[in-house]
Amino acid sequence: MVDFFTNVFFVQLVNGLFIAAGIYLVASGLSLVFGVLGILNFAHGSFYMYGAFFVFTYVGFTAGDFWPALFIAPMVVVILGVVMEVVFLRPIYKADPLYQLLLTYAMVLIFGDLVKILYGAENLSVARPEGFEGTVTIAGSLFPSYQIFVLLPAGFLTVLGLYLFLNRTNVGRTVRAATQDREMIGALGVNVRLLYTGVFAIGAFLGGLGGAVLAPMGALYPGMDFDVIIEVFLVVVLGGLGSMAGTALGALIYGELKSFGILWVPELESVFIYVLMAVVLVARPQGLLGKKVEGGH
Amino acid sequence: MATSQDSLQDTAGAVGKGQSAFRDPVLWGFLVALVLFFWTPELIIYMEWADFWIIFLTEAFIWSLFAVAFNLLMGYGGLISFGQAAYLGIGGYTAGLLLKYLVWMNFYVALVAAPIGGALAALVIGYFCIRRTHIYFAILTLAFGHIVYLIAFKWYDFTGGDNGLIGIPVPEWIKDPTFVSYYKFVLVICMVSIYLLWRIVNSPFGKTLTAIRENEVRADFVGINVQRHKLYAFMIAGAFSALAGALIMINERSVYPDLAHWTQSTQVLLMSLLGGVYTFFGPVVGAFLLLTMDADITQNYPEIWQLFLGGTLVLILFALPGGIVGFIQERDENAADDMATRMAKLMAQFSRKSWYFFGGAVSFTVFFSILQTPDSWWISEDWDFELLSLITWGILPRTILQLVVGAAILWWLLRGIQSFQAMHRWLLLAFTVLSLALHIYLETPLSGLLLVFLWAVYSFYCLFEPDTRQAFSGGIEVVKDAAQEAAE
Amino acid sequence: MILEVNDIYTSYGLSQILFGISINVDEGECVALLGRNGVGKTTTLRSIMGLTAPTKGSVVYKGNDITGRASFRVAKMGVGFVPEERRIFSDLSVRENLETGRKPAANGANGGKEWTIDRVHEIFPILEGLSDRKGGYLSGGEQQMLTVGRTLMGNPDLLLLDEPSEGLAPLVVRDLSNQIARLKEEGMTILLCEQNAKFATGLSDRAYILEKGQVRFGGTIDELQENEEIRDQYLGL
Ligand SMILES: Nc1ncnc2c1ncn2[C@@H]1O[C@H](COP(=O)(O)OP(=O)(O)O)[C@@H](O)[C@H]1O
Ligand SMILES: [Mg+2]
Repeated sequence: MVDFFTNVFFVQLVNGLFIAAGIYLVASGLSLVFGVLGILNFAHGSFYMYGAFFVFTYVGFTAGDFWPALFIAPMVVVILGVVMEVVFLRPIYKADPLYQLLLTYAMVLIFGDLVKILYGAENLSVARPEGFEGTVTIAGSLFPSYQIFVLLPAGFLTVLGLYLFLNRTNVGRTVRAATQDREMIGALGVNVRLLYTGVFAIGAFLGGLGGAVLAPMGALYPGMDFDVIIEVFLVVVLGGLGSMAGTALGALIYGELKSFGILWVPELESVFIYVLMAVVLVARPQGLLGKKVEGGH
Repeated sequence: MATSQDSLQDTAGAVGKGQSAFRDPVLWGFLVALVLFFWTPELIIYMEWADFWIIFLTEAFIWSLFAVAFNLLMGYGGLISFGQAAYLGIGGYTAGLLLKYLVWMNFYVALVAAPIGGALAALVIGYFCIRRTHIYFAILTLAFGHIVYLIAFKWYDFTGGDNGLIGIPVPEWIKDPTFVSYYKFVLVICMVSIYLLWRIVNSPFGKTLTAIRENEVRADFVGINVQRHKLYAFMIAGAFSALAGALIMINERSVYPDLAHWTQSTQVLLMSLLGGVYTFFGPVVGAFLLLTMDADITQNYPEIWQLFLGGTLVLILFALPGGIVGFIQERDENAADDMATRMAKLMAQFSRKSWYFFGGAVSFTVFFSILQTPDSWWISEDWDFELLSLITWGILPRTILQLVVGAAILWWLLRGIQSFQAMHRWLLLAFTVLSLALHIYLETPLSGLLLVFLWAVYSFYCLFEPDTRQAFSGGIEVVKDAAQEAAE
Repeated sequence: MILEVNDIYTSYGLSQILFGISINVDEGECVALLGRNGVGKTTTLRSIMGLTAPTKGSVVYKGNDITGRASFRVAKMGVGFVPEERRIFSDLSVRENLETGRKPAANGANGGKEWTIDRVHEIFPILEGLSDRKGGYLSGGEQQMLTVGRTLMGNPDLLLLDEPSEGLAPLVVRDLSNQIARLKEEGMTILLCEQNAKFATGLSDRAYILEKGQVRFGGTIDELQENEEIRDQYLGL
């Protein structure tokens, strides 16, 4: 009996980690872009969706070659993102934030229908790569090997990679400085426009990577962009908008809560996260690790 | 709709001073519109498409109410709710569940329960949403809107899940096969509600809300309880949205989770933006325009509807931030200008805007021609070509004709207008009305027609208001410089 | 002449601030830009730096017209801007703040003597012990030194200093004054905006006085000292 409980507990804990890793991959890009550019990119979910669909295309073309797609699909998403940034966002950096919100929202609508036109409205799926279709046994419990060997490491490497990039590289330092004072960083000789485009591209890459990694784990359908952006929003509100550590923490809490919530009320597991979010909003409106004052935006 | 800025302010003043509501010209406007629309079904009942129009108008009025309620938040409060459809759903489900499960439930009680439910839900959700900045507000309204949708979608035992609630009992008179009685019912409720909202935005509460939108810090500084005002606004918007939701539910006698879906929130957002968020009646125009476009596009090309909405949104943001009604009302007048300068500026502005309208009308025709007869670039495939019948021409010749001839005439007319030739005023009005006729003849879809109609109304409004009328008949000395300056 | 500002007009949106400012700075000079609060000193520096482009007139730096050029290009050409309210990156450590400012000298100038963190520490020894502290936790004087040091790390040939003495205790102002004097000795060209005329005149060779967006006086410090009327009228000494 005790065994059974510890077992279920362990399985749900690890499942929670899977969910957390997946959502962190997507949310980190949104959070980074918000932190630096001050723009809440609704269309980030679209990047995720395109990442997944491009994997589908690539795998289809190469008859099952999955691994290169993990890099190529996000790179194509980066192109989309850069075009969007240069054409639509650049002219409105100084505009009212409400305008920026509406504009990225418009992009969601446009991206959403384009996917329907390109891929149709049916559900599609991507097969798991060879050698990762099965399960592995850890401490007596079965886990899908793709999640264990691909998803978890991808999530973990992203956390680590972003941390190192932001804290240990020159560009990362400049990015952190730019979140605090855009004009000043320009006066010190940094091409801020280019920096913004670069950060937006990284954000798009992370979104696309999230979609690519998650593609073999579920159905691809138009509308997955919206479903994911809601989850991402919950995560960043929990953790604190613009805080990278907060995003990681938020993703972890989100994943575990969802995983254990399913045991409780299988149909409405998402309600828990809303309740938690409501509590956080009352107790700590800036999110768990958010900063007190909301940036200089 | 064509209420000028001045009369808005006059009314606001009048209401503010607590004078009798019956001296309020807007009230009379409402009454006249109510009477006109009330008897519309009797006028059109013998037409071929009477049912279609009555259903269309019913929906348009419900959505107008929804849009005006939404715009109380967006235009007056500066708060964009990305999940307003939640309240539509809450209204629909509140009334629907009451009627469905409580056999003794009175129809009118259920209808009143809807806005109360909406307000209560808005109180709870709003309590969390208004706590921080606009960006948080956007995220949270979207997220809470989604949870409402999810609950409706997943809670099978209570809401019926994605099967919806069907066969909701309603009084017999609503089931009238001509749809007229329900139309009238909706009309009265919506008109009264919109008038109530009009009074609300012109009350001290509405002014305070606008002050908060303009400068939250300052509002806070002068002792306004910012959070509470926002919460009230959120509740009012929630209540009226829920009422609209209940009306939609009754219309269909069923309610589905889709009523609370985020796409509905998008539509209402776009209605407000399209019509003009900083105007009270803009959203009504936006609702009518978007629903006509919806009817045009969704029927034939449902797969591009969102694309179209997104494209329109981008266009509005970059080119028409004031929306259509804002665009019509906007005037850059300098109080110090004398009459002649003012008129010259007005006409310069009028000319410029006429060109926008002209461009809009032409692109609408082209856009829809391409959608409807995609390949008939040179010669229309549907008809045998006849030189004298424009409709048999292909897309390109028709467009070129429209562009070249139309632009030449318009240019000549506008030149006359700018030098205050009385004759040209009439000719220009005739020209806009003729364009309308031409678009009807060419079977431009409804949205195009509505746009040209707005142009005609705008021309009338600009050229025949008392001041300009006097300018044209009295013969104003043309102030060339001022006109040129204003044109720049 | 390293910097020439010719008759510039600048406005923020609808409000016009500068009405034909002309100033020039020679190589190796320290020039003071004096005037009361709100006369347009900061706006002049912003116009030079390309942060707020002038609507009329021109800014010529080392023979190149830089009017309205993006500020990062101006910075790369060797103009260093030290802003008014310090504007250090408060979440970054002192060392990181200095590192953000690092960039190579324009066309290898600076006599081959690149600015390094060590060299900044030589001038502002106080920063050395604070290397790992977050910028936000420094005192006003330390922040001011940090912001000057940060700009120096970009190897500028011309330093635009905006009210460095503002809000500092007299003792700290004296330190700062010595440090700026030392920079000048090392050959740095400086354009120094100040309300504190005593502080500025002690350091400068020449001075301009602004009033309502126009230059009301231009001349050497000696000329300014002799001209009591001007001093009374515009500086309120
Ligand atoms: N961003 C701005 N927008 C509008 N007006 C400004 C702005 N910055 C400064 N001003 C105005 O410009 C004038 C000159 O400012 P500034 O150049 O900062 O003066 P100083 O540096 O000499 O104190 C002041 O009246 C100030 O109010
Ligand atoms: Mg200043």
